[in-house]
Amino acid sequence: MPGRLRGSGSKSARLWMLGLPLVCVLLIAVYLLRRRSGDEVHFSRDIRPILNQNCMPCHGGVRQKNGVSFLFREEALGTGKSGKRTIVPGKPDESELIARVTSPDPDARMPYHASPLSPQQIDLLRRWIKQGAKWEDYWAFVPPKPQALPVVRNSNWVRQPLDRFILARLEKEGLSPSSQADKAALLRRVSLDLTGLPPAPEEQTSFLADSSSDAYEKQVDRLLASPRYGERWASMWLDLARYADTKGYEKDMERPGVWPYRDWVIDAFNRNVPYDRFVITQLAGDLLPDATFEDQIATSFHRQTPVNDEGGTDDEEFRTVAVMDRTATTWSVLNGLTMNCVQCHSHPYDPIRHVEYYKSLAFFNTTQDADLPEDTPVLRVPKDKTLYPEAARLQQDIAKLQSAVVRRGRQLEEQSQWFPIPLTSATASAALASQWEASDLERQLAGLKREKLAPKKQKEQRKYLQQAIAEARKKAQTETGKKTPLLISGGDLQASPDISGKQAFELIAKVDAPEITALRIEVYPANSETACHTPDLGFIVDRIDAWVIADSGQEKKIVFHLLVPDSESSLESALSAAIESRREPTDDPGANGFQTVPNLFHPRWILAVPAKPLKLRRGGQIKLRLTQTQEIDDKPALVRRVHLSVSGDESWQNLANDDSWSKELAQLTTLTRQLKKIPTVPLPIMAEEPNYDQRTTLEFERGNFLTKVGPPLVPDVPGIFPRLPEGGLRNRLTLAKWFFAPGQPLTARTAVNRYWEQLFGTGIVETLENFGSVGEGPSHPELLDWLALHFQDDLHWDMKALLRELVTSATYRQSAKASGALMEKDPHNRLLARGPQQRLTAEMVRDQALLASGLLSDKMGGPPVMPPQPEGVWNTVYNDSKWKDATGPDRYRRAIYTYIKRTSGYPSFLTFDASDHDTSLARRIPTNTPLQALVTLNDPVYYEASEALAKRMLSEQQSIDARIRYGVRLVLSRDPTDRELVALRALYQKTVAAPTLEPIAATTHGNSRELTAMTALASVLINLDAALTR
Amino acid sequence: MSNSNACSRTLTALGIKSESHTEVELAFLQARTRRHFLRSVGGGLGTLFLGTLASKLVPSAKAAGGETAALDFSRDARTPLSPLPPQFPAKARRVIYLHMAGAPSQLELFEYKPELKRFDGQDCPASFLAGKRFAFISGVPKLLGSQYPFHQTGQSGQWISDRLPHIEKCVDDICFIKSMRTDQFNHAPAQLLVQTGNPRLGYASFGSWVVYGLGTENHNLPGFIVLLSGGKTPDGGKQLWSSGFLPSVYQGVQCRSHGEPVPYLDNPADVSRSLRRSMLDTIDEINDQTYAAFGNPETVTRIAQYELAFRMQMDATDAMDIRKETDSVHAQYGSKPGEASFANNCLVARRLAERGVRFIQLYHWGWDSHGADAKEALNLGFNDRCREVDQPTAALLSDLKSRGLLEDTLVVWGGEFGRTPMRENRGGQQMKYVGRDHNPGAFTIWLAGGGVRPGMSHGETDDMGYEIVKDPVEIRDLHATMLYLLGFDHRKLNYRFQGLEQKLTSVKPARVVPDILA
Repeated sequence: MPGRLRGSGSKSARLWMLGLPLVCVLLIAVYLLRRRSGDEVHFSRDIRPILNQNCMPCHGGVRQKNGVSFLFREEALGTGKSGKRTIVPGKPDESELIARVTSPDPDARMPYHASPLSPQQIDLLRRWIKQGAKWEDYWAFVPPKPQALPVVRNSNWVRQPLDRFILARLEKEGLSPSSQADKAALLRRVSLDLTGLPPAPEEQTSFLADSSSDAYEKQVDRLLASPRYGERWASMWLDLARYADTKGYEKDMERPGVWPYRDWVIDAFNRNVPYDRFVITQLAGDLLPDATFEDQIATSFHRQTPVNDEGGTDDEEFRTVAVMDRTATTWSVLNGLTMNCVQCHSHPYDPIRHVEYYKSLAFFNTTQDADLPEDTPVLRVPKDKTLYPEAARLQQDIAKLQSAVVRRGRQLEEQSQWFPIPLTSATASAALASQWEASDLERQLAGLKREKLAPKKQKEQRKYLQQAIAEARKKAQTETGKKTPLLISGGDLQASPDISGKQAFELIAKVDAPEITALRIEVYPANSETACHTPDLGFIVDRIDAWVIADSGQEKKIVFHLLVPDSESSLESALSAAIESRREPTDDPGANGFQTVPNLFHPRWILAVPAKPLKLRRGGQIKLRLTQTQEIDDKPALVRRVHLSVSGDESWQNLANDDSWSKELAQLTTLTRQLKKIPTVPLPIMAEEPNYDQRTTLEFERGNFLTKVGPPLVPDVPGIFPRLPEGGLRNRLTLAKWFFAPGQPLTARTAVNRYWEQLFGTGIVETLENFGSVGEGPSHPELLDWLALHFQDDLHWDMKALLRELVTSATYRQSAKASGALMEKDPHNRLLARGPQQRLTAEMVRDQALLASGLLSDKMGGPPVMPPQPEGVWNTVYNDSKWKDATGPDRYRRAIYTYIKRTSGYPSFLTFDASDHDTSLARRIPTNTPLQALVTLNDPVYYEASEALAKRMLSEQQSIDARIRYGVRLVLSRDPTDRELVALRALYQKTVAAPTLEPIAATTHGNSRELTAMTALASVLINLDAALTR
Repeated sequence: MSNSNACSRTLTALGIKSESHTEVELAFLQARTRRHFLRSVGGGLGTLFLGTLASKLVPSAKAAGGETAALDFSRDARTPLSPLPPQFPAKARRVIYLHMAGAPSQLELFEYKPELKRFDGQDCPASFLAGKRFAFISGVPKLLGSQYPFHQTGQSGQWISDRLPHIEKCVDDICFIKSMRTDQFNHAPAQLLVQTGNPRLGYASFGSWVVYGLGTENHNLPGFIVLLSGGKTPDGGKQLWSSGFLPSVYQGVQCRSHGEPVPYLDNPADVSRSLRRSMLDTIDEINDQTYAAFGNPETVTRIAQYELAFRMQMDATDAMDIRKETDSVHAQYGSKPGEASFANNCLVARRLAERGVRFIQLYHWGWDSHGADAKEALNLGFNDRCREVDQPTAALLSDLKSRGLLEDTLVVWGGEFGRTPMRENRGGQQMKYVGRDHNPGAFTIWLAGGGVRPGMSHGETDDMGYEIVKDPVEIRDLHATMLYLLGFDHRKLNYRFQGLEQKLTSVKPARVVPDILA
């Protein structure tokens, strides 16, 4: 540009003269612009922010107006609808981007109908294109780089390497760090941070008296070794895990067995399980070689997703929601990545493609859970921890035996020859179904006495059954004789969706085989091609019966000796069948069928093996009755497509007479019985579907689970990340381990940032939940990288070691006092020229009051408890569970043991910004509201604590001042200042003495005037700003 | 240019002209109101206290989602609920939302369908079932005509059934939207969609958005109050008034029309009001000392919040105390002090509206008329529900009107989806009682006051009341329209979370329904 100006000047001296001042101005402007921004334009620093703010909303991952997008370089270099190339590297004047941002036509100028870009921004874009429009990866997607420790002037201040990064920045900003906090304040801060509880007076005294140089470090080590440590840090993790005692949505039914997972988390923190192991176990403990019982418990992390038990819901819909939640939660917890943005379209700002989301989802789409009310699959966890080994052994043996039995059946099935037997007639009878149902209900009624129910429940149940029997009988009567014909196509049943209600299907087939040793019943989905990703509703066949029809028309019952199912899920009914046939084979209506609940993904089969080989005349007929009276999701669970075939192989006859097979079945029954004897709770866990019944993942069109597109997807991580290991299995375990592989850019950064935020109040990256390009940038990028690599490579993911370094740093130990000047310069304390000061978390507010008052129970673990909450808070639809205020020590347990109901959180916790545990929460945003004041002033929990604290002060000290000092030490972890003492004493004396304050004296509780006044004082203490902060 | 002119011009732009024109209009109005306000309010101590809290409440200035500059919702940390002006002059200043949890049948109340009556008892055509998902219907159900007679009423001549004789008298104030549509057919997700703009858990409720956007006019009361009747919490649970990703200060406060109205409002039995005052004086005094020593602005905020709590104890108790109303008012509403009824809640709603509460949400449970039992039957329990809400709803409308409050109070009445013109046949079998299944494809919601065109009906369904044939309105359109009445372009009421400018109307395009605006 300067050259051209010179050239034009040489043409005419006059022009040159006239143009000189202008040229000078331009030259200076260009020079200044250049100097200010340096020669090289950096994409990440200079260009991406301009694109993100001004272009991406319309030309990004969500919308690509006129075919233009700036998400990926190849897109930005492409051609828009206008036919012009958006960016031509090296040639700004040929780039439509520049033409558009500089256009004088308001309808053509970009950003569309918004403020134009500034000349500086346009210049940056121009020069960037000129320099080749180089694209750079966003910092967060580039692995952390080793950092040299910064050189600082005041190196005496430094206690930990991390301090150098903080100090270097402060020195650059012309700030100096604050002095160290006084010992009392420091002990309070570190005690609450590490254990969630303030220091007890004895602990304060011992620390104040300890003048050794490592007095503070000794306290830190004591706190890190305390069992309270696990309880405090589990709170943080359970927010991320969206841990709750109920299932969410309308019914919000209880998950009575979920607490062993909470206890596992607490225990894992206390045992200081390294972060990599901690995470891998939770994501894929079930897939670890030699997975232990505890490993299985840990997988409940991803079974904490809500389940919708509302009547008439589609289980596949909410199973899909849960799988999407697992995908989003995994990426957000481990990498601070907003993967859920990519559910419906490519990421709006970060270079992640739509299909890559579904490749990530594919890792989680092959588990057995299916939004069922029973929360299957579950692990039976003993209430008594000492019984863990026995329960573990039994369940392991049962699982092994089950899979051995199924494997054997499947092998035989595969080796056998099967001959189709075409249907000649198929009908449905509601009468037969109702008849069977009535007799089944009668059987239940007869068995009711054996069940140990409360008399009221017993009576209710009896009444219900009697009514149901009457209804079924009536129905059987009115429907008698009515038979609905069912469609047959190609010899197979093809029942239409119009067939509804409870039905017994009667299928008559012509058999041309000389001898039958097994009958195979195969159930097909309506469309076998698509069912593997978009399944049909499942089916439940209560009972399978069959007859040989003689020429005379006479029917002869076939006695089946065995039912051989294709999967573990139908094994239980097959088992009962085996036992049944040892008894007198009758028309006993006991369940004896097979099922696939709630969805049908693949063809399924069951084999019925007769006691003796059947010999039919050529052209003989068999009648098969499939009785179906159950519903799934409140819809009749009927088979639709059925194919029948028979085998004459000897192997089936051998199996029927095989001792080892029946012994195995008997063994299974024994083990199951033994397990039932141990008092356990059901913990939902992760378990993979068997290989033969796995779902396939496709891309959902715009996130809609009902419309899928494209080919089946192989599980994979997004392209911006390092690749998965070659050749290995693509399962959850591989993914979990991949997060901790060298070169993974975000796992360590996200983890150290989370710890930093817990201790300093704000993360180095403030948006813990978003490290992507529209999250906040790191305040100390070098420190973040250094800490991440240090945690990963030097500390080997040792969480306590990391915390120890953080809390023993000079940065952490600073006083929180803020001068006016510092407040103005750095109001949010991002530079850390002073120590952190944070409000207590909801849990700490409660636990501190209970500890100070001496009420706190130190019992660890076990089922959740119900401390008092206002009446009538619980009133959930179709859910009778009640909140019963706990009595005894359970009333005073630590907050983490409080029952968490998703639709109705514990009110005082929610008021103090606790998570509602519906979805994974990365960061609680502290608020400061009058409703919080009402909680700590008036909630009976806090008033009870105040009264207990007052009693403690009265009984353990003699003088007023000593009592007040004691109370202040219990609550504020320090001695009162003189002025505080005066103010508190004045309140006490005024309350005791003033007759005008009413009702002061012993009224409701029969409390003495002294106690009432001291209770008011204690309540003041727990409401002080100094009590609510750390 | 007067405010009303500005409003109608903007409306024209929204309704008819291109999107870009709207942008310009909105930007202009925004410049006139909000920016002016911010300039005149800033400075002083408040500037200093734009501390940690404020920074977290504020969507960052370098917003990336909006097409024009984002609105500024930052506030003084001591008063996170302080009022902010709307984006442009608004017709409605507050909302009373009457949610009939369980989804009342439009075919028994507002949708007159003589053709459906003609086909009563006949098999439903196959075309009604193809490709549809139902909660309970299976096989081939029968068509079911309305169980109650309809007639035309009012100056506007709108059709209404005989179940709502009191509301009938207000039809000339009511604007029916008969073409509401949702994509959720289970209660909890559908209620979540209506109340949070998203069928999944974890999003901010409508009331939270409004309080976040506008603040509250009365600091001695919560800005967003929820009242329940019908004996149950609505199916979606407390998530329906959760602040989701917004700071918890914007969550709805569930109050009661009997007993302690706000949780923990009453002093403990041993603490008199004067003792409480002395306690607060001591707390304030010591907190002042703490502030002097540490200089943390949150300490000052805390002092202010304790004082607010003290005032709230008086004002909330007073606001909820319907004993202070005359006998004639009670006769009008059918309210009885001491009960937990919809009538009492309607009366409380009026008292709260008078006191400047921004968003008042009532839930009345029990409208899920499947016919599975007597309580849920159209011919039994449904009548009780109608009786419970008819008189109080009408009383609320006329009371608001006579007090001049209806003008700037937006009243909304409706459920979370509609009901099928087919009789429910759970499990494919005829049921003892008469009921209808869930129909996400069409339902009726009505609005009144607050800038809504009165005495009209928007949208139409087919002769069976099954599918919309004219002017469908999505939930997000309703939200966009309500936010418009409250003075916002719904795309501009944003909060930055997970890197996105989150909004009530979520990601699919939503539009204001110009037809229903006065």
